[in-house]
Amino acid sequence: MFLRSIKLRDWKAYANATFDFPTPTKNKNVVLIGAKNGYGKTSLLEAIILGLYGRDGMNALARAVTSNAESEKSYDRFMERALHAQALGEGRNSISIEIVLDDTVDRLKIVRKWHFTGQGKHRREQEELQLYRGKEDEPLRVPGPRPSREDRDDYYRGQIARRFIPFHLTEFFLFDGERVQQLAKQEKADTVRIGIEGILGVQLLRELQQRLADYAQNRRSGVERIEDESLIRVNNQVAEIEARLEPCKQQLKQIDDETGPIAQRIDELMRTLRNMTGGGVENVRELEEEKFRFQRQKDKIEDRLNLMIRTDLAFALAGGQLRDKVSTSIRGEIRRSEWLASKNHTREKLDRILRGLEAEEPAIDPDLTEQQLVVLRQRVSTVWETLWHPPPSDCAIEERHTYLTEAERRKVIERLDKIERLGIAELRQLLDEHAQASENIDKAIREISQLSGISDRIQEVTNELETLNQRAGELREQRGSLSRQETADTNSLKDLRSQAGRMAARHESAQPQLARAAKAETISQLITDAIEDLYPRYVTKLGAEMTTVYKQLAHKTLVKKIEIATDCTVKLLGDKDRDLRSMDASAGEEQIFALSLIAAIAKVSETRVPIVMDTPLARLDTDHRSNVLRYFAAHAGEQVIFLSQPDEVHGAYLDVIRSRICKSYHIEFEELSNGVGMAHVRNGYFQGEGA
Amino acid sequence: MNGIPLFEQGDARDALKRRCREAKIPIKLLEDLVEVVREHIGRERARGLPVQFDQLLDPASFEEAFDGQGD
Repeated sequence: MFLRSIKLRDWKAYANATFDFPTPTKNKNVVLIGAKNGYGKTSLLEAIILGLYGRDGMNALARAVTSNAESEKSYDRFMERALHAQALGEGRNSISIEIVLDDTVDRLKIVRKWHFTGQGKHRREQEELQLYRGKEDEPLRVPGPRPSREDRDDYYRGQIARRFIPFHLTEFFLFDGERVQQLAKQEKADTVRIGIEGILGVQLLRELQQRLADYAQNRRSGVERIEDESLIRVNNQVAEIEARLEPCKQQLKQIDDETGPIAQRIDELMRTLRNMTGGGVENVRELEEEKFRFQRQKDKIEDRLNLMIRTDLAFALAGGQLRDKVSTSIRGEIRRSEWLASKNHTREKLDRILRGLEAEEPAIDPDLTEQQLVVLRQRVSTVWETLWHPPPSDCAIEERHTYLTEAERRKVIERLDKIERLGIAELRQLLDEHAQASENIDKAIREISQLSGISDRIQEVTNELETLNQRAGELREQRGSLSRQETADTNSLKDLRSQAGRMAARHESAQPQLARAAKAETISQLITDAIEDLYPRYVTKLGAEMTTVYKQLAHKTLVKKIEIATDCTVKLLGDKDRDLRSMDASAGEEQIFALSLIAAIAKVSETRVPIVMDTPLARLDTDHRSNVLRYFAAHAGEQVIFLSQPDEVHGAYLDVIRSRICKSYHIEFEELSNGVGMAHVRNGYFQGEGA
Repeated sequence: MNGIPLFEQGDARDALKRRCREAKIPIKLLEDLVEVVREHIGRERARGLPVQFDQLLDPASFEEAFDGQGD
């Protein structure tokens, strides 16, 4: 398609302007628009980009028109500054851009409007976009029932991108000279990669990849994540436990098979043993132990008897009469001792009485003579002496055991009394116990003697019983362990089978979604592979095309071939395939490389859309300017629009393209006040240029 | 740029078909998917796209489509 017309209302310096472009032909395909710096060339390029893509065009605008990088910061601010300076004052509060695209079979009119408040603030939500189709400008209907505004805008954006230039390619078709310089400065591989992906339509496929990735993720997250591996793992666990359970059961059966006869044999041996030992469980060893116990009892009794013999036996043998006589004698001595002690105690009081005889009070008249006092004392003493005679009847006449103290006399009496009261009875009891112990020992000896004939057999049975009991214990232990394992495994098996069943059911129900997700991922990978397949094909084509363009644009002929590798790295090959990248290239030569890439992309992509170049010849020297103009006018696009300064495309340069110009304009600028002005579109190029 | 070289140019299409055969994906399915996405290009939201993908990627119709792939 080509640009048929552009109508601008209150867009920057253009209060009201229309550009009409004739249908380009093979030999007449150039539109030349001249304007001095600041008169509206770049504004026109911006109008085309934003008119086509609206807010989506902001990024493309930043790339295509480098001076507008700040526009990325704020769409609203950019639009507010775009409103014509006089619009609000004259009661107009909107911008309108109308672009008509045309070709031999179709026509598309795009009308976009931006509205502002009375203070010039952008009303973003009121932005309008309407598409019309055909000669009759029939409004393009959005398919589907009652589409929302967002649906309509989305649909329109898609239509423009599809029918004209996808905005990711904008920078290769709509650009200014500054952008060319920027491309010239950046890493060539990056520029080439962007171009190739545009040529391949990879952006659309990349879009599909992203959508498929989102879709796959959405579908996978929408179903319970039961991967095949999870189900297989659970089933493997089931099989593993089943495999473990079977031998476990077999071992349990073997243990039960072995335990039965062992228990039976133990019963038999126990019966045999009971029969041999008279119903009890005694055996020779137990009888020996019993005999030993009685012997120790007997020994203890004898120890006690020996002690008694050593201590009390003499007294016992002396007889009761003698023990009584001794006891009475000692008691009498004790009594005598007590009597004498009392007498001596009162003797002290006798002295006090005798001294009282000499007292003056009460007086004796006449006083006693000394002789009389002596006699009186004798009489009192004699009387006192009569108080202690005769001695008590149980009092000994004399002390025969003078070697004993008072305490020892009492101990002797106590011991003699004890022998009388306890000794005989205790001795009798010990003798009885001794006789019983002896009898028990004799009995044990007799029983041992009776059993000694079958003790070997008992030992044999006992040994076998011990062996069998040990084995039975081992088997019980093994069985317990196996039984616990069997129970645990059986429970686990039940749970796992249930879990596997549920997982299988969920897995089955999730399969269609998962299959779709997997398919989406497969297709995504397929796209990656297919693009990789195409890179070699297109880098070769692009390299070849760039070589052709470069040779036509560059005035030097050092570069014989431009070679692009599959990773998009670029080589400029001279004679003998020498890489010339290491040689210093002038800014102009770098710019020629960038223009070659742009032209080659337009060629290889086979895209039949206009190229709009704003100040294309900036920083190019004389030879390059002619070559660029000549080449782009003749080969780059079906329609080429040059936006030029007066000193850019003029004179000899203008002569290069003059024959291809189908329409020309120049823009005049009417300064109103304070730098505010109005752009007027006039037919024809600059005065005197004759275009 | 009205078409995608991958689908429209002979050599590219042959390469794509080979990849499709390897992945067992009908080339028609890929074209349909591209067309669906093309209709949504530039849209900020992907309303309706998953449903269209569901239909195109339906396992049953997918098998039939691949079985009947002649291109």
